[in-house]
Amino acid sequence: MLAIETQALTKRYGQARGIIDVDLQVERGEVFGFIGPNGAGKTTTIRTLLNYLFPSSGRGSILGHDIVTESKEIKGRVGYLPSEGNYYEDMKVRQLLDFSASFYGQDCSSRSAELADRLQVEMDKGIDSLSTGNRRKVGIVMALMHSPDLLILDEASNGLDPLMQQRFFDILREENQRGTTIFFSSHNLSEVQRLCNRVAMIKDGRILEIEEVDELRRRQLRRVRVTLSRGATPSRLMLKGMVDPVQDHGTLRFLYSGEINQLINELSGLPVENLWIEEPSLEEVFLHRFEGQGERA
Amino acid sequence: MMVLKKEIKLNLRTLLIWTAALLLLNLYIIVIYGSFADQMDEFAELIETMPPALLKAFNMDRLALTDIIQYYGTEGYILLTLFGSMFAVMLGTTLLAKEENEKTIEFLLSKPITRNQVITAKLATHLIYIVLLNLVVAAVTVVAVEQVRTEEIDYGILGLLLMGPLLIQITFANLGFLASVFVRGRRPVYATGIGVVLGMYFLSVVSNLTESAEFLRYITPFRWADSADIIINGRIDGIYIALFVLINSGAVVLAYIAYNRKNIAI
Repeated sequence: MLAIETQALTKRYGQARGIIDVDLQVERGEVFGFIGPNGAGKTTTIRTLLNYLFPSSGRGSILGHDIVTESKEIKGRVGYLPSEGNYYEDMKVRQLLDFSASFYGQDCSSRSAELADRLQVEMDKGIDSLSTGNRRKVGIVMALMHSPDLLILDEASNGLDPLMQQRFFDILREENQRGTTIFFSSHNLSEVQRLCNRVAMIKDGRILEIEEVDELRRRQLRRVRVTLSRGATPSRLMLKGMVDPVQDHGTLRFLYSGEINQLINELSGLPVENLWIEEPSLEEVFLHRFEGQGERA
Repeated sequence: MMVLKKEIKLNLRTLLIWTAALLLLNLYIIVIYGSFADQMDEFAELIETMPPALLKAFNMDRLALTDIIQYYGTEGYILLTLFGSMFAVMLGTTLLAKEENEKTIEFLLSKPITRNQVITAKLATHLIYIVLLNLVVAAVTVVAVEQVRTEEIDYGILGLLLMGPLLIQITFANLGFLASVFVRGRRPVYATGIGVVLGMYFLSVVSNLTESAEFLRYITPFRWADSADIIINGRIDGIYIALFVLINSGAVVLAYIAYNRKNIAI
């Protein structure tokens, strides 16, 4: 049984772009990344999966339960961390955690206390006095307190300082080792790269590609910078797979998606003074790979 | 059940304030009667000098202020019907809408509960609040009337006068609730609700003024439990009870259906 499965899941609303024909298959035990620029449809997808929104067409299931008709069952087994922490402002943290735990029909107190301790959650503070980061921590405790089978995280590390982000990721890895599936939505690719096995890329409401994070890295562009000795004419260098060449005095910069060997061969005929081949950020990969694709699709 | 408990607790202060305010005003009206019960004849003469339309609008043509029940029916009754309805419509329009406006609905619906359970908790909250408010006011009113009365009174009629506002308030709460389910986003349904209550009250005043506006009595809930009708007929007309049941069950059923199809925009 899959953790998440959707078939042509579509949500249109009014003029605003929703999501179109989203097909996802997330295996149990996987850490699945869901990346795309802001406004690509990540949150809409999640809200449709959790039945805040009703699909316009298509269907979906979570842990074998239909997302529309069996939402209550789903929610008993899912921990959801929304992108913003909107909670009852007139409650204290402790009250909110108790209230949250009261829905699950199980004793969440020890797990809740352990998580709160690790994340340094201040239990006696009022919700209204919490900073974004502290709200986030409260949200994390609530998403995890009932030991869910599936975690759905929307912009997971929003507002967390680096130390807390590290701790949070450690907790997520432990959860995953215990068999928890994690659906990790983010617009930050390095975050996804750190945690996920597979990743789905979404833009303008459509899934562009789903692949292994390793494969993504292997196939990705490299950033190349070549400095030639004075007087040489680097404009001669025209290779298949060269993207966006920029010439700056004697230095040529470009992104390269072709074979490394061919690049070396080509460069060997030139008076190379210096050479850098670097891995670009995943943001750059995403940008170049899918430029214009969303509109065309 | 958890949601109901939270709701009851979280809004308790509002209930206490409204109950205290209505209670004090109600007591004040009754105490005034006590203070001039012995000069009632002169007061009645003064009333007769007022314009007939005014008397008609406020039922003073049909009721005599010299009798405690009839006095209460004109002076005290408006408090519980009009202000009580404002309280009710405020509850009805805000209890659920607040969750969406403050986006806490995202939290609530991430828990293993159905939307029906959420609605039931909210409806139960406003119903319990309204009943509590009216019970407290009714108990104190009966005791107070007992203190100031100068002759025997008909407790059956007093009971009806204390129950009438309940019907009106519940109706406004449920209608307000239904409206809040349909409204998307952050528009304040609450203000509109108060406006509708005032408008309905105005219609009931108009319906007292002229025969040609008779039909209004079926439109405005304030006429269902009109104090003069209750005192003169000694009962609340069956047709109004039927209207009450019909409109309220309709509103509640529609609210359940609509909320189960609503896209929750956060």
